[in-house]
Amino acid sequence: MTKTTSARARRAMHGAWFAGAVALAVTLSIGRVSPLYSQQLRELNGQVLATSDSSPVAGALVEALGSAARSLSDRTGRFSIPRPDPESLRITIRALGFRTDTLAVPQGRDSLTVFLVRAAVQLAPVEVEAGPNVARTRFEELAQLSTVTLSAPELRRVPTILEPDVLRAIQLLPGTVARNDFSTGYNVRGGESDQNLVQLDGITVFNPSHLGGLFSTFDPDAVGKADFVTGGFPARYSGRLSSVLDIVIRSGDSTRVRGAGQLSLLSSKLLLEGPLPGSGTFLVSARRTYLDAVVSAFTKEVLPYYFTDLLAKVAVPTGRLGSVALTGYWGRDALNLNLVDSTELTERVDLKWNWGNHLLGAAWTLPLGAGELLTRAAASGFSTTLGLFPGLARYDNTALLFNAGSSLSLSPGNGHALQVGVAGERYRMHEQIATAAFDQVLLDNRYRTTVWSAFLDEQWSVSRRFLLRPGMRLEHVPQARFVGFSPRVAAKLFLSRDAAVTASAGRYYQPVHSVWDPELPITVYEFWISSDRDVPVARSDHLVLGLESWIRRDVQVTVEGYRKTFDRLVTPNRAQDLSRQGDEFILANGNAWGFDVLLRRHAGTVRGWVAYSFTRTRRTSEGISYPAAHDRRHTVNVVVQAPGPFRSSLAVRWGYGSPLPYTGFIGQWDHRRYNATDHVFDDSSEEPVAGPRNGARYPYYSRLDAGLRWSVQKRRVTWEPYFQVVNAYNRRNVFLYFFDYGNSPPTRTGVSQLPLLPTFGLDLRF
Amino acid sequence: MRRAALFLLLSAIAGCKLTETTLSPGERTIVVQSVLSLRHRDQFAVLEYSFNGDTAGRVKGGNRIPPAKPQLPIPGALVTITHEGTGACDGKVDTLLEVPPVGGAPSGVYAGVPCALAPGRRAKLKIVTADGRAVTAETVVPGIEGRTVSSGGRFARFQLDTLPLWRERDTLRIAFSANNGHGVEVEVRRAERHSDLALDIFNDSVGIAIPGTLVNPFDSAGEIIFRPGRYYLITAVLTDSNYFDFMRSISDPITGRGFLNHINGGIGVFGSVDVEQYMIRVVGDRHDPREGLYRITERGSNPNINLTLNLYLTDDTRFGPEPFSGFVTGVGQPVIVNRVPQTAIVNVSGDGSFGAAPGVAALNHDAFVYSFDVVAPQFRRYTLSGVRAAKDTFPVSLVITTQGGSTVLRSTLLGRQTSSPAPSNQAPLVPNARADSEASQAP
Repeated sequence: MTKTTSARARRAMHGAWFAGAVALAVTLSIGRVSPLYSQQLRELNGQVLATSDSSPVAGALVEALGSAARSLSDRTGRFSIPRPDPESLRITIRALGFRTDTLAVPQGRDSLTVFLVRAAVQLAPVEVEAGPNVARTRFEELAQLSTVTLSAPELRRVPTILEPDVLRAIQLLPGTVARNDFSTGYNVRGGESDQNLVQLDGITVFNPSHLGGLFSTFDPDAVGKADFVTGGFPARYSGRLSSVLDIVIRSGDSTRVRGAGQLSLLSSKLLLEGPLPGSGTFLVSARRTYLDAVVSAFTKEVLPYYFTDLLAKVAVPTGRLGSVALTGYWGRDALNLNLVDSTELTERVDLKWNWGNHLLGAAWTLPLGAGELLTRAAASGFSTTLGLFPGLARYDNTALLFNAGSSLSLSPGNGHALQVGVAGERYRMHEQIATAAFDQVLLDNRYRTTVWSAFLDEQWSVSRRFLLRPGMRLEHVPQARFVGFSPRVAAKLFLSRDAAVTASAGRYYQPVHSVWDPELPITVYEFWISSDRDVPVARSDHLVLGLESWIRRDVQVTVEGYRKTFDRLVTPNRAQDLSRQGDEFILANGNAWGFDVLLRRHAGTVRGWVAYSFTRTRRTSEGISYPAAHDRRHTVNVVVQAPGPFRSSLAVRWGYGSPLPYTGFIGQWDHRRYNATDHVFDDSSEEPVAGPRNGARYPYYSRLDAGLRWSVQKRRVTWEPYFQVVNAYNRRNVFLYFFDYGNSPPTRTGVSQLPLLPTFGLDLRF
Repeated sequence: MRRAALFLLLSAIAGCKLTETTLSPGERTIVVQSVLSLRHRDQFAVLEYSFNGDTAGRVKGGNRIPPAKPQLPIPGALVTITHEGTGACDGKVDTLLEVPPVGGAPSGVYAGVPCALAPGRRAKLKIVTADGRAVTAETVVPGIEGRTVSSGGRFARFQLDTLPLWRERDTLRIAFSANNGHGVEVEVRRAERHSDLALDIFNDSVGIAIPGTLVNPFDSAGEIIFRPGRYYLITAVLTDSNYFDFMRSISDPITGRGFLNHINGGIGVFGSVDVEQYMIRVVGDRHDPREGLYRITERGSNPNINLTLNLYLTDDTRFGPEPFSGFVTGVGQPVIVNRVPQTAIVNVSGDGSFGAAPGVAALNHDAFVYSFDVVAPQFRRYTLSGVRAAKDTFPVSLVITTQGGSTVLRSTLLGRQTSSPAPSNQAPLVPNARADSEASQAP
């Protein structure tokens, strides 16, 4: 049966590689599930949860005493071990960061839920060790390709600009292209930056950045882990074409109130966590830049910008009813620049530019025997206002998402883990340009989009050597009269205990789009619109083939090749008629192929990774085919974390990127101003004449960053001063070129990306 | 707006300037810029090459074309306009001829009087350069069929009708009903000096409203658009889609894209417009006792010169320490034209400032200089100066010069302030009511 299934799957992927393959695989899978329920189980199935918040404990080692039977819990905390002796069974459960527990399993009981108590002192190394467990467990138990997990300590220790940053760390992973130092935006395997789904505890975040994309919104200290999926993502994810960044905010400490603070050159931050009355926990983190306050305190100048954010999570276990978690985030960037002072004749005029995300979500996890019902409801929004106030002109853009859904996870045994779910999403986007002074509304576009979806995701251990993960997703967007069927399948064939061949294929749809020009080097933030009768639902097909191998259980080597297509991508239409809705975009198609290599050491005193990516990606729009702006052929990132001098811990990052395309200029022209009063041209401005679109390339990119961090314990406070150097060899990586064709000979100058930039800061924990 | 956001951000980012690199010359692109005006008989097209780093053939050009010329003019081209549509011009082909070279250099300007344009008709431009390169474009001519132009509770009744605009209270509203119009552009210029452009704004509907309190937010001094005490010429333009796109778009300095080009074989514009013009007389609140009405006359019972000044202070310090603008009406110095003395009727606006005057050594808030131009029957510039007295007559020095700067008269007149604002900050009713009643007087 195994041979039959894999042969069929292979044939389908080589031919019409979607509907047939997955429908067949799912049919086979489901066809096998039904009789399994009637079989006599020879396994003990269970789930390991934390007592503090009923969150699943991944990587817990479950051993049956007196036998060799053992198992590791998966990411949902579930485990399954053979029952060697149904008459009497004692098991021990060990998990890093938790007290070891031993239980007696009553006779005849085949499933149980285990609650573990967190260890009183949660040391950093414990978190670090959690990394390999996750990756190795995933390797052993899941047919899930293209996924990298970063733990909180790894995120904190990657040297980045000014202060630790989640998205900056993500930019260093395979398959990812970061176009320049000034943006936390990233392109994954040829996709656009708006094709990256970023979720915080399962809640979509529209624009996860501050200061025009220079810093991300997430506090690394509050992050439990970050799963980054660069392709072939499972059926439970939807809404984006190219990647998923699934960030889990950790629950607060259940034993006592703890805190952490940070003082960097950019901002100051305070995090508090601890138990709540009863058995719940809380975690609150607040951050704000302070340079505006410093400037105001010591000079007469005004720095008219700051950003701030607030993140909170409350987790409350409800005993047999599982647990409830609430996650909230609010962030704001604010620029307020006085342009004109008020006088007798003039009103004050201010340039105001505010933007930020806000979200609130609840998740209820209800254990159901060996299964679990997860129900989520959330609201997430992004809003921006840019304008001349009062009343001269303003631009408003809001993106709101209300969503609710449930997923049921079942572990019927015999290697099956099934997840089914339904969800509803309601997008409300609004873009408006108005001027009260001129009594005009120049642009007023509203988008109301509903997405109904259902999915099925099956993890099937067909045999000890073969894992299959068929899935499918059905999506309906009434406003766009769209029904999309997204088959997905992943497979893993073990060549040995430490090596496997992997493959996945899937179809993905995206009902929301950004109309920011992807060829501009910085994405200040995405300007979202959503599908309706005019705006189509974009589509991408992924095909991934790979090889994953482990050396000594702590060194991971992954090689994956991929091919992607992009259809109905939405790009901005500069010729749009502002007074009508429906012409604000131009459609584009595209494709990408390449391969990624990851060599990663998860444990030991020297750890880190080497990531290499090869990509070719093109777009076709308005009859012209051209390389995408992120068509970087080679990307290398080396990240090493090791003991450093003077009892420090050292982190080094070196990056290389082959030349990125840009549109070169071949001349300039006088764009004249017509004087209708006198019927003459009376003024002009010089503007460039562009050459072939993205027909030129910048020089290659290279940067070395290094950081040292010390840890000193004093009076129950752990002080962690750090020192970092960004661009240690001060390479002038090109950011932009400027051309002058007005003189002979013509010349080109430009501005570089970040120069050598030493920074320092202080973390403390108490 | 999105692009403005990016530039603001980029300006805040520190990066190092890179070393300058010399490049090979790029390509020369044909640039065509021509806007047909329904209200003008003469039409023209400017033909030039883009700059490519090769300065061969470059001439000294100017910005005001015509009569100036571009720096890289294209000589010897055949420029034709073909008319399509119903009417007498249907199928007719007009040729725009190259304006003769000036100083041996080609002009790059091709002009002529084509068959009368009419709303809704299509005009096709074809250019063949001397080296055989062809450029084509076409436009559909817009036409204003009806208009509603109002300010201060009054509607304009005819072209160049003068409307009042009380700066703090009124809004100038312009709306067209159009044949084939795509957008509206409004130019606001000093009535007496068209080169003084106060505002150029456009909108992609056929109507626009401009508040009297509008300021230029990108001028740190908060330059106000409508200064009380001035006449402004309003040029309301109904545009076709080509010219509207030409106005609203630019070639992005980063990506090089973004300009909405409707020229085949080149870059630029071939568009068409219909134009109407109106005058506005701007008044406003007054707070300073020096504001108000002044009577300036020659001594004697039968004076030649008899002027009334209506002054408004502004805080635009580019015009002096305490600048003001004002309307001046009355009778000026007679002018001899063809040996016949003609009366100089004055109804214009001018600018001046308090704080200094010729012969006044120290800062004196009552010392003033004020000048205005009288165009008909001959150009004369009047400059008045003196030291104001609040409750008495005071001597006013008058100098009249020609356009070339020659002095034709020096005289001393008698001045007296006949009204001033109420002492409180509230807007005085009487002087401004009087100013309003004068609003319909055109310069």
